[in-house]
Amino acid sequence: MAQLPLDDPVVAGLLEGPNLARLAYIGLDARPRVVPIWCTYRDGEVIMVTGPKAAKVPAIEANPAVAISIDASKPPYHVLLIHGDASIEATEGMAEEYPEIVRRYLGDQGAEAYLAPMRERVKTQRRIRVNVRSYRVLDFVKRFPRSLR
Amino acid sequence: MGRLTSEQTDAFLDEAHRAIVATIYPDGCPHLSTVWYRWDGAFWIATNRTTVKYRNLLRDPRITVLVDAPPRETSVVGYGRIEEIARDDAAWEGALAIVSRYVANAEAYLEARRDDPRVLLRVKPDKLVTWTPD
Repeated sequence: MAQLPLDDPVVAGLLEGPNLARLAYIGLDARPRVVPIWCTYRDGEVIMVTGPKAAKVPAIEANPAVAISIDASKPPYHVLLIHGDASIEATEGMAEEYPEIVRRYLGDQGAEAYLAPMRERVKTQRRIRVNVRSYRVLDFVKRFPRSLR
Repeated sequence: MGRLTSEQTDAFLDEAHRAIVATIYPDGCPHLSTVWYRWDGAFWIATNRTTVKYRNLLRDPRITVLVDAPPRETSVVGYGRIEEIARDDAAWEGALAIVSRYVANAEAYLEARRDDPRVLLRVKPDKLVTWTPD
């Protein structure tokens, strides 16, 4: 298991800012899948939260190999590409990490408006926990995809 | 939340977003990469034959293309198979049509990369799923 280098300013910038993650997994129909998702990095693992009926839940339970791309949406287009193994846990009520994740993307005020109706309604969520197997950082200044070097 | 109409989908994909494409490595794990594209009912992608995605697609042509507008906006996902349309100089015009959506001087951009092992790919989705928060 690898740790992401938080002392790398490109990595720290991508993980601290409201940068969307794209999660790839293999569908139950054996096709590749990719979905946009919010995430956080905590205690050496990437944490994402989804609903109990999401299609990715049974697919990842069947095949835990995932890839995650966290991209800056504006130039310079930094990319953090992660390969890892995911596990899924059912939570009682809202996942403990969820408010922190939502705040990262929507800000304090936006997050409260988003979460308030959910606090009542959500009985359970699914926490996707990803152990990082390997990662690559692209900054398109010094670090390019292998094919462009 | 809802779905986009076909006209809204075309208009959204006509904007110069980047696309994230998922392919499958030989060991069965998923791979992601970010690409420029053009949409005309199919996704057109220009890349190099040395890339991981191209090598994956030679072995397994199944690909998924995601175009979204962060942080919580519209997204379109296309599922399909890759078709190789052209290589090298024959791929120039197709690549130019894609690159000119993103950079001001697309000719110069491509000229600086003239010797790349270029390949022009097309994905005509057999399934397109759209999502909008509206």
